[in-house]
Amino acid sequence: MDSLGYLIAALAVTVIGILVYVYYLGTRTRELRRDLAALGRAERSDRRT
Amino acid sequence: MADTRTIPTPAGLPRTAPASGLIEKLTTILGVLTLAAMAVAAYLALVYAPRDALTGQVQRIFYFHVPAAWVGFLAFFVVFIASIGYLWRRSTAWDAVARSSSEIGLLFTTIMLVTGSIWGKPVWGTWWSWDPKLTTSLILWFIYLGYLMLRAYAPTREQGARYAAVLGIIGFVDVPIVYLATTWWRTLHPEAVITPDGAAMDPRMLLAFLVSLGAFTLLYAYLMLRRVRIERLQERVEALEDEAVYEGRVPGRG
Repeated sequence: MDSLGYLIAALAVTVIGILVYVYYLGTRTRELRRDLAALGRAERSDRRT
Repeated sequence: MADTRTIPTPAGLPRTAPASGLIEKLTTILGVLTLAAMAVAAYLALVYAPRDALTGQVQRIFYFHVPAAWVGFLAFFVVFIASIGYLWRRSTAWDAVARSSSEIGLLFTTIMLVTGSIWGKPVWGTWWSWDPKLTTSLILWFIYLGYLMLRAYAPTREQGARYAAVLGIIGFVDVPIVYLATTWWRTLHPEAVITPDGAAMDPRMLLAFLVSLGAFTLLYAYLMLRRVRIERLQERVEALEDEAVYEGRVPGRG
């Protein structure tokens, strides 16, 4: 019994699952940093006026 | 050396992000180490380890199916400990660890279930069987899916954290049940190949398995560092938004 296709499918599920999650973490971090910077700018500008 | 970049924060929160630069450097180093370990593990699992005489190439799924299960169990154990910590101290740091670890645990439990199903088809002739090991594993998956849903739909963040901490402690009971299912019940699933008496496998297979286990554990640590960082950033953003609403600079939510 040599089912190489099943091995490739299982490997693909593992690799894609991990990569998608790492991508999600990167996107979420960038979004939050952007929000934080925008809130910081707004706060400084409000304090000046 | 501590990073002292100024991050605007409301009163009551530190105005700097101490050690965040150090944590980011550590995360990068851990990321590189994890990538190298995963590459070595892939080589050992797919090339170095001998082909299984009985089931052939498909047996190589073992080298990432079992480590994925291990990381799932480890992640839920961390949720268990962090949940106790949260209920004891009511600290958002414990809550951030529990939330992050539950998400990563669910990811790896999903990988474990899907790769197990793919492995089951050529070996057992079916994608799924309601046998004790598989059923208790699916229950585990639903427990932590419910855990994340509970957090998402709780009226307040604090309530979500409290309810989830209780579920994180009770839900962990299923982890030893999944692990011991092959001992307690008659099941299609093979028993543990590594026991206190030794390992019932070829030494090359054992090496590939142990390296893969180590690589997946490093991956868990790396993902945890990144995920907990997101939780801390989220807290800062929410605190700043609340301060802006409080000071009347922006209209309140809802």
